[in-house]
Amino acid sequence: METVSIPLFNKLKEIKINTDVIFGGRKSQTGVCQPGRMAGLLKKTTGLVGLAVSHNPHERLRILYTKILSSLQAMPQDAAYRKYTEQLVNERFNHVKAEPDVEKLEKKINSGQIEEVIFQAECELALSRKMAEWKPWEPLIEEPPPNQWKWPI
Amino acid sequence: MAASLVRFVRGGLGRSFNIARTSCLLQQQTRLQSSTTETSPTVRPKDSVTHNQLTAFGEYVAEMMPKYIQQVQVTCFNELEVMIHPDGVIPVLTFLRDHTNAQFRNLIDLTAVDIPTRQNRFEIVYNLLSLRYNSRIRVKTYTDELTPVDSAVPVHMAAIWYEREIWDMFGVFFANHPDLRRILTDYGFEGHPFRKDFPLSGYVEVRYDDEMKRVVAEPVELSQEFRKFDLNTPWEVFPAYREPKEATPKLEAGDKVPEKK
Amino acid sequence: MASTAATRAAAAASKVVKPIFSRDLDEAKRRVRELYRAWYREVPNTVAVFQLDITVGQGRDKVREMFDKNKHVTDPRVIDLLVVKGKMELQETIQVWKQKTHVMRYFHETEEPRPTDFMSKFYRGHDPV
Repeated sequence: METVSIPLFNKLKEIKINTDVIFGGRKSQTGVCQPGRMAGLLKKTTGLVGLAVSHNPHERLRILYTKILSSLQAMPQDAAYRKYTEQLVNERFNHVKAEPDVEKLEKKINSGQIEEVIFQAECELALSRKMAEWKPWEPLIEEPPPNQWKWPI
Repeated sequence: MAASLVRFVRGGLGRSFNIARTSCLLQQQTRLQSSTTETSPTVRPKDSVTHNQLTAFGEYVAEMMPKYIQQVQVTCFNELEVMIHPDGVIPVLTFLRDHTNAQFRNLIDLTAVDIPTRQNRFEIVYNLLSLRYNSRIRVKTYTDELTPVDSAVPVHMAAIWYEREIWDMFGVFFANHPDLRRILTDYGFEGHPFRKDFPLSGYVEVRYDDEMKRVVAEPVELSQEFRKFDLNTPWEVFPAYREPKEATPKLEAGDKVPEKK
Repeated sequence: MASTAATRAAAAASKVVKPIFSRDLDEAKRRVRELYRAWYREVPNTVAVFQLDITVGQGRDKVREMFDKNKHVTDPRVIDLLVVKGKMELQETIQVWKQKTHVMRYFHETEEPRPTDFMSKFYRGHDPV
């Protein structure tokens, strides 16, 4: 059923969008219309408020992940945040590189629709820049006062 | 060890739906048992899978931000609690919101607890929800009457009214709050009603005055002298918090091996 | 409340504390003066808007009295907190969120003075300390 493996952003140029309703550039992922057979049918909506359909998810993710990795470079090598985030981002980045089909990619990443993954990457990028400022890998700034967390008193 | 930990956390939290189902199964089994044999006590079965997941995730968070996190613990009802330094409110909440493995995007509740015997008498409690991983976390910090806490509004818009409420009820000042004013008490009300030293009757009583043709407030007269009651019950109120603590593992921030106090 | 807070602050004076707004006493005093000026200017407006049965002079005297009530406070953080509360009150008054009763509450018109000598306490029926 899913034999098509053409990168979607190449295909986009051929498809003409002639209605106002359709604003997405990608095939629908609902089960009714199978991709490939109904190649003309585009993904209209993510079904989530405020989250528009992404036209070129691979490109977007590649840019975002590269940026995250480069901003992580500024942190010390043994910072836990850098270690874990690098691992996480690399894993997803490899999936993005290896898998041109968006739906399969969504399944591999297993974190919802690709638009949500993009949103998560955007958040992570913003966070990594803030983290470089806060330096949370430093030792504890202040011990709690004695019995602060003792309960019951 | 670290790599396996991450995978465990991500996979674990991601699979929490399945785990919830299995725990339901567990409960059903015990219920069946009790209906047949009537021997097992009617208490909630211990869900060690969720417990271990939460412990692992707590360790993960503590390892990420050792600068702010003072202590992490999982309660007996499988609630993950992260105790942080008051300076770390914005960083920790932002981290929990934006990190891909956490995604605690919803601020469910924000409140305070007044414990007057402590040096920092107010505990500020943030309850967060991650829809992605179907998981909850509680972040706690502390302050006193005069120390301002950073407002969580830049991270969670939902904090505006909650922080106004805390300001009104406890008198904790939130720095950089966009609109800090009273929310529940009447205009002209003095004092902070949820403080433990606020009398139950309040300071003023209100009545309609016929001569003045308006409502007037007069100081309330406490005709009964203040008494100290012995409120200790003969029952054990906190069975989950018995002194020699073994059930709840306390993880000191940054340490891999839990220390014993 | 202010006094207990002040003693606690004094006890922890050796520790560096986080300022609310003002770093030292002079800055806190400046804020108090700003607030006082704002209240002073607002009084005629308040009297007109709320149709109060007092003169502008009486209103200003009351403002003065309210500020004098806290003149013993020296901790800049306590001063800041009082200023914050004063600003909120001012906002409530300017925006007419308050009603006449709230504004007139400052004047304690209906309150009877507490009995001081034995006989009047006796006539009151009980002895509120």
